[in-house]
Amino acid sequence: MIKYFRYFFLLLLFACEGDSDVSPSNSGENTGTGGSLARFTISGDYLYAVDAQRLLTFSLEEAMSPKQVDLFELDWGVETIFAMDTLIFVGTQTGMHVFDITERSRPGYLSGFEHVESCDPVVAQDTLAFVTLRSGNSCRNGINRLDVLDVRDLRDPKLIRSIPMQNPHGLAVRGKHLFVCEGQFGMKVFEIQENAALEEIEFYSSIRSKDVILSNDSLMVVVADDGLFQYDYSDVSNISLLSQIRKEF
Amino acid sequence: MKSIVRNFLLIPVLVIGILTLENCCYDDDCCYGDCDPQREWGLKAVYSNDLDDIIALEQPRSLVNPSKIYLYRQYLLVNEAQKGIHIFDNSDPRNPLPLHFLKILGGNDVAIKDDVLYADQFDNLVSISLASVADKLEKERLEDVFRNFNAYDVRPEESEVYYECPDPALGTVIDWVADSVDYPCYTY
Repeated sequence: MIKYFRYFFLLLLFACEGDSDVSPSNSGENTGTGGSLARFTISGDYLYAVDAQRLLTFSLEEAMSPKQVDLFELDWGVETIFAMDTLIFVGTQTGMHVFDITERSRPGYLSGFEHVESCDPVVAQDTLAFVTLRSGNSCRNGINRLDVLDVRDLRDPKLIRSIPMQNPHGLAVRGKHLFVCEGQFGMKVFEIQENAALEEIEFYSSIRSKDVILSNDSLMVVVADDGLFQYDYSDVSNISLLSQIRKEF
Repeated sequence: MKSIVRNFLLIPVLVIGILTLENCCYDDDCCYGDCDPQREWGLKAVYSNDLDDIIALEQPRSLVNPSKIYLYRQYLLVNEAQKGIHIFDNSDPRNPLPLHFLKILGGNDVAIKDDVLYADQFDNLVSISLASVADKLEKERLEDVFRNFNAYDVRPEESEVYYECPDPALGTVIDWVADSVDYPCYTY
């Protein structure tokens, strides 16, 4: 019996933690860029981090000695954090939460958007947020889809549309293009149209992917189960491999 | 209402906490499956709270379980789940050059600002000065800020061995040595 509990709680603990995808979560000269599966992000002099159920804020005023300045309790199953301007999007297994960090040391809770239990990184651009829901042995529900949310009213995000997917992990958005990692199935590229409709314009079955970073207008870094891959994506219809670092089997 | 919801959500956390202890066989009632003997020859954890044992700059190594990725200036970082970070010079993305493996036991996430790298180290937050890599690595640790519970899950690489169920209160597991182990865990 204990054995079963053990697996049960391991499932709970590590649900969805293992994989995720990437998108630019912050930028600027002094800080770097993580993927959409990141649990840390830096904005200004503050580090925002999520653990399994909380959003923590650290002041980096003394760079080597961060100080915790805030703590916000969320629901169990927090997975990812994404910063956009003065906003923070937190992806959890039950939804998406939006915080205002205009006052950087004290994130203010704006809204929560609930969806079915699933693994779900979130990225955002302008007035839209993109959330992937994924099934998998550690993600309790068997839903695979991409949700597009209208976040013009940050206090009341609205689901615009859901697109069925195969096994979406991380994602990244740049300009009118949205890149979604489909795990072992490859990578999909969508064009974001005027009315927030998404048109799938490419499906690269050869680009197996768990997470992705778009670093400038040409460099795409992808992590997959079998290693690390870099591509030139300046022509999204003709993404080309630059280099690969294969993992050791 | 919100606080009620929060308190309610705490319950699974507590339950998990208790199960974690039980999983780790701290009491006489615990035995696995068909009641394994309570003392076995196995692997005993070696603990340390010395940051020099937990964080170190090492030679580059192969990717085994690549997870989070991070770009900073000309560097490409790839987390090796729970072990540390592969650092590549990515000045030419056609030819990334392995520079270092930054060992961070219990590390899964990373962010960098002004040449200071921040990472989780189990439930602690560590800061590492990248400007110091040429000399002695400068590092600090803020303890017990996260609740990730992953320190309980540390286990030896070997399969089918008995081992001492880790007790994070004693420090970070930096090694395993053969010894007799009371109420062991088991790797399947």
